[in-house]
Amino acid sequence: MRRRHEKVYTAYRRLKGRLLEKSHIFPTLFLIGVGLVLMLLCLTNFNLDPRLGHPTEPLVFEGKIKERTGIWFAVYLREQNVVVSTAGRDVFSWPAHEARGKGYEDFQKFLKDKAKTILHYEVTAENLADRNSEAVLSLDQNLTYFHVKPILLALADAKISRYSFETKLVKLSSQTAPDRSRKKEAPAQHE
Amino acid sequence: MQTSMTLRFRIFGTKKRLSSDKFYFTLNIIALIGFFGVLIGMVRFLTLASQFGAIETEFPILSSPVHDVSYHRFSERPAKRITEYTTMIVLTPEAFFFGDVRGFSTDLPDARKRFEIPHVDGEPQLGSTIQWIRKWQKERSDKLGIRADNLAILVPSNQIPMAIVIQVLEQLKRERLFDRVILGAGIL
Repeated sequence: MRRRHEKVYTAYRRLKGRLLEKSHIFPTLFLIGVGLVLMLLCLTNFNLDPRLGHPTEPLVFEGKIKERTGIWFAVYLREQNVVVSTAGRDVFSWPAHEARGKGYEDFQKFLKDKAKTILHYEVTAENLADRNSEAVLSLDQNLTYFHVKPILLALADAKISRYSFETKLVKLSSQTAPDRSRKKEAPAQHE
Repeated sequence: MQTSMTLRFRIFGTKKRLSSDKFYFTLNIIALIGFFGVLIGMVRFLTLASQFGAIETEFPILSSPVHDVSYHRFSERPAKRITEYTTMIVLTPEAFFFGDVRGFSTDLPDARKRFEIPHVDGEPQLGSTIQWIRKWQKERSDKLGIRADNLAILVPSNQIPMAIVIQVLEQLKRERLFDRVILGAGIL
């Protein structure tokens, strides 16, 4: 019994001695690293803006401020290809002169699966809201109607009927361009 | 000059206190907290986005109502219908053309069914177009009894930049000429 007490006391003294020893480890750098990682995790996991990292410049124009919708994707041109990148960082691309190939087919499949997922969620959660199945397209300003038509066709194919074009708001109210027609002439009859 | 013993003792005591691990650790923690605060502020500043809006539109849907055999006999009716008299606006790089759906389809050979507003120096004259559409709709309503259904089909040609298409779409709704504007294709 006495030997057992001595053993415990010796272990305690050694532990105390180890704890009282001056540490040569500098935890500052380690704490900075851990802190940065924690910060990034907090910033990325909560309400990260889906537009971050997408190189699109939407039109600067007055528009209706909307709640976040179920489907958002950015469309831009890169090296003669139309590139579509979604909020979930899926990227699809096809040649700008014609919408064909694996990229366009994958995009069509993505939209159909997304519409199905949203419908499944709405039915099971009993949460029918128009904004869930609405698509918002953030288009780069150098796109023409020819580039966007296949995307609209893909939306219609996926049975997504409501969509909108994203615009960047300005603080000052926008004014329409003045009408520079010289006279108010009767419109020409088209022949 | 000889410093007094008391002063020397005080200097020694201060040096000993400052070199104590206790204060060094506290200062480290405070510096780290300040550093993280500045970093969080900078990163949050970078991730904040501008305000964004949206210009809404939609695809027309073919109505196929399900027959309700229950007590309420609920049936969904479409809010608007696209007919042959629905206004159609075509935007090309040279001009606006407007008329009704019949004027761009079955009555295509008839030149009186469509109207042209040419662009001035390449700039679309949307204001004038809207005014002439209003006059045309009023004349149709007075003479032929065709009421405007507040619905328009906008058909831009392929070369038109999307920025212009979006602005035209929104301006047509903003002028209260149409409640809904549908984007179309295939006519050009």
